[in-house]
This record gives sequence, C-alpha cells and structure tokens, in this order.
Amino acid sequence: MSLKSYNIKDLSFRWNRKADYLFKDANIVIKNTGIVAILGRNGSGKTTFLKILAGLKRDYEGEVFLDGRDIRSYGRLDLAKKISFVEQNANYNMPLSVWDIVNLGNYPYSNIYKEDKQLSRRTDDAIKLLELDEISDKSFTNLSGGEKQKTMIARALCQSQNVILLDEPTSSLDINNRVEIMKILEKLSVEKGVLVVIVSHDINLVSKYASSIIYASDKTIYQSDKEEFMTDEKISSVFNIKIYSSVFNGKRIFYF
Amino acid sequence: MKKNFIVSIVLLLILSALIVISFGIGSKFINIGEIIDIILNKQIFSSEINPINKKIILQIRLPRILFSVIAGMSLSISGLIYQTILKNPLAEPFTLGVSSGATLGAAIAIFISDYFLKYRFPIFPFAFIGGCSTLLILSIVLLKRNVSLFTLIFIGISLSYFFNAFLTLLLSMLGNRSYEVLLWMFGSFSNPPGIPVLLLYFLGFLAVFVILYLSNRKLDILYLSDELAESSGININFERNLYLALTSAITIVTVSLCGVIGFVGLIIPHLSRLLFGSKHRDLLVSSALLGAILLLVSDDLARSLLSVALDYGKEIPVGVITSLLGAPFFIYFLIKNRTVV
Repeated sequence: MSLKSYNIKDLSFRWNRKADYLFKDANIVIKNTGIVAILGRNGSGKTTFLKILAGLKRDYEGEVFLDGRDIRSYGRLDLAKKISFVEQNANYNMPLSVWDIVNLGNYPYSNIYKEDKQLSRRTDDAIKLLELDEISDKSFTNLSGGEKQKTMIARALCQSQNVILLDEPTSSLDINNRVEIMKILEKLSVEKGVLVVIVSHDINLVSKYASSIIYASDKTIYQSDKEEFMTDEKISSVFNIKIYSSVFNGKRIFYF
Repeated sequence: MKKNFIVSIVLLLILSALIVISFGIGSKFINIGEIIDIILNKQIFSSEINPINKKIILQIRLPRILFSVIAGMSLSISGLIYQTILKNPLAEPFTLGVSSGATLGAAIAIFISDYFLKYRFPIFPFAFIGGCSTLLILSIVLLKRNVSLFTLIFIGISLSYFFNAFLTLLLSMLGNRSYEVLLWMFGSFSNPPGIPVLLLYFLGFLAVFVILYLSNRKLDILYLSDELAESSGININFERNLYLALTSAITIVTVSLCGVIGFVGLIIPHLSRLLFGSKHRDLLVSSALLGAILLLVSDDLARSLLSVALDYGKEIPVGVITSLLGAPFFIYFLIKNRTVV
C-alpha cells in the first residue's frame, strides 16, 4: 500500500481579482487513511476546493502538492492517471453501455497502436470491483440512480486507483444506495489504499464512515480528526443551525 | 464489435454495387457488363465498347457519382461530430450558420453577375468565402471567451438569421431572377467539378476522416460532462475547437460545391446510432457509408426516374428527394426504436 498524500499550503481562492476570497490560507494535509469528508454549507467553497484537488481549477493562490509534486506541474495524462473525479450529478443520459462508459477511464493509458486486451482487463476489473457484472451490457440511460453512480465510480477507478474525488456521491440516492456507496468507498480506502475524498451534506453518513473531516466555513478550510470535530457545537456553528446529537449503540447520531 | 464490422462490410458492398448501378442510370441506360469493362478498361463482359457510352460514363457520370458520394460522406460525418460536440441530437452541419454564410456568398455572386456584369461569376469562391467568414466569426467568439454550448448554438442560429436577412434582401432585389439562387439553395449535383477538384475534395475529406477516426476515443469521452472529460486528461477546449473547425471546413467546401442539401447530416448519424450503437469508431465509418448511399440513391432518382416519369424537363433538386425519402424512413425508425438519443 503506497502512501498517497496531498499537501496544501496557504491555499486561497477567489473568482476574480475584485471578488472577496471564497476561502483563504488553507493549510491541510490529506493522507490515504480512511475516507476524508468535506463538510460545509452551500456556497462555502467545498466543491471549488475539490476541483482544485482534482486539478480542474488552476487559478488559485498558494500551493497544492500531490505526492510531493506541484499539482500544476503534472501533464494532463499523468494527472489523469493519478486522480479520478466523480461529479455531483451523473443523472444525465449517455447512449453507451455500462462497460463502454467504464472503459472510457482507460483513455490516459490508451494509444493508437496499443493492444486493447490489456485495457479491457482493466475495465473488467473495475466492473468486478463494483459488482456491475450483471448490468455491464445495459445502456447507461436505462439505469437507476444508484447504478448510474456506481458506473461512474467504476469509470473513475478504471482511470485511477490512487486518488478518487467525489462530489456529493450520495445525494439523490435512497438510504440503501447511500450505505452501499459508502461501504464501497470505505472498502477502497481501507483495503486498496485509495485516497478517497468526498464532499457530503449527510452528517450522519459522514459521522459513520469518514475517518477525517475537512470543514469549509468562515471563509477558510481546516481539518482535524473526527473525534475532535464531530461535536454538536462544531456542526451547529458550521451549518449555522442548532444541531443536537446523541449516542446510540455506540454511534453518534445527529438531528435537528 | 465483430457484428458491426460485418455490417460495415455489407454497407461497403452495397455502396459499391450502387455505384456500379448508378453508372448505368440516366437519360441513356448502359448495361452493367459494359460499365465494368469501361471502368476496368478491359473487355470481359461485352464484345465491344461504345465510345459514346465510354464518354458518358467517364466524363459525365463518374464525376457526378464521386461528387454525390463524397458530399454524402462529408455531410453525415459533419452532422455526427456536430451532434457529439454540441451535445444536441438536433444539431446538423448547418446549425452554426456556415451554410447560411455560404448561401449568402453564392447569392452575392449571382447578384453581382446579374446586375453589373455580362458574364457569370463562379459561385464556388464566393460561397466558400461566405462560409469561411462565418467560421471566422465563430472562431473569434470561441477563442476569446469561454462560451457554453448553448451560447454557441444561439450564436450560430443568430448568425443564420442575420445572413438569411441579407439573403432575403438580395432575393427580393433579384425579383424574378432569384430563381437561380433558390435552385442553388436546394442543392444539386448537376454541375460536378472536374476530376482533379473532386480528388482534392476527397483527399480533404479523407484527411478529416482519418484525424477523427484516430480521435475516436476522445470523441467518446465528449459524451461525459466537460469536467469529467477534462479530468480524463483531455484538453476539452482544444479538442472541441479542432473538431468543429475540421468538420465545418468540409461542410463549407461541400455547400460551396453543391449547395445546401439538408437532412442528411441530421438523420444519418441517428440512423447509424440505431444500427451500430454510439461508439465513434463504428459511427464514423457507418455514417460515412450510409451518407454516401443516401445521397447517391437520391441523386440517381433526381437525374433519372423521377425526371423521366414526370416529364419534367429539368432535374428535381436532390435535396427534395433526400427529404422525401429520408423523412418517412426516419420517422418509421424513430417509432420502431424508442431510445434514439
């Protein structure tokens, strides 16, 4: 299990030179020890932060190192081999089969001359990992929300099993699918050593599955381990609403 | 994949057969044996080759057949790429206005010749410049600002309206003499360029086709959202602009040579998807073949059967037949297979 890490130094972001900073001077280290969850209110910069980690937003101030190297110094394909991204709402229609979509993750590894067999095996592996074997021939358009999300995660894993960044992977899913997705991510993180970062609004899901929390609030982004941060006061102040919690069967449950 | 390969071969055979048959069709019927002999320049099937038939086939029908085949391939490939890049099933090669620009150019050529000159300006360069200036405007917009796909389509449609307004003005000024412009707008293969020009046209198409075919994985990735495509390692703005420029270029050349032949670029990509699925590796090949077949057959009908049957004296514009044939066929397919786009 190789160690993967982000080292973020004095990261600030604003949309343009005249705008206020969305967040300022964030100093964070992210390691592949369990799921890392980003919590915060709408508009607090969670998704922007995730896109900076993905290398999709490059006009930030400060420095972001991935495995010791400036993220902006990676070539496109090298970065794609390191980081894969799952966007917020994959509920659009694509006229391809599940297998073909997962296979798109092979793009950084493909070239015109290369034998396709090796790449097909990578696709098959990703399909197996998410147990999509039975629906692999189905058209993406006809899938349920949960199946679509799993397909997009499989595509991401086919692309890279180093770092996977997911923007609200469980929103718009039912409770059954939410738990299933989180279990898959937990398995990836614990068993495969994948660095998993998610943005989520589901405090209870985060409390159950994440091992460390990054908060986006008060125009900055900060981090600590779960025990210290997952308290009523903290959550209440981040979301600006009174939130209570109680311990039930050894698990902390939040409600309002 | 194997199934698609076989179907492609079948389509290729059908196209080849249709090309041979097309040589025989026209105001003078020539039998197949003689056609093959003339093309191969040998005497296998017929005892003697009629020199007039040879002239008809090599100098009249060959350019015309090549013309319709290349135009069919170009328009359907352009339509396919436009639909992919604009993420819009209703997109066609004319969506961004290059055809309106070309038409305006053609109308200007006819207008100037009619009003100020004794001789006829060649239409091609004017139409070509008209199309290219539209592409130039689009490029400036695309390179200057990060426009969304919807904005791009709106700009294209606005440009079309703008050019069409000028066109209408010219048509009204031409009055009765506007007939020539109108005929040009319907599209026709009746004035094919010479073989050297056709060869250049074909090489241009081939170059674009090869680039697109080698990029088929990237084109598939364009089905994903922009951000996912970007995170897959694709420079999405560059790729998008490149493919739009290439396909617009072959569209401009096609429109400048044969006028605006509608519907091919819209329906052929959809028909290909119904038959072959949505991977570009298959779609590019099948769209090219199906587009060639549709325009070849349409032109055969335009220059023979219908003209003879109706005792029309003039040729029916090929665009008329394309739509008359294509629309019911397409509607039938749409109803039969519900999941198209």
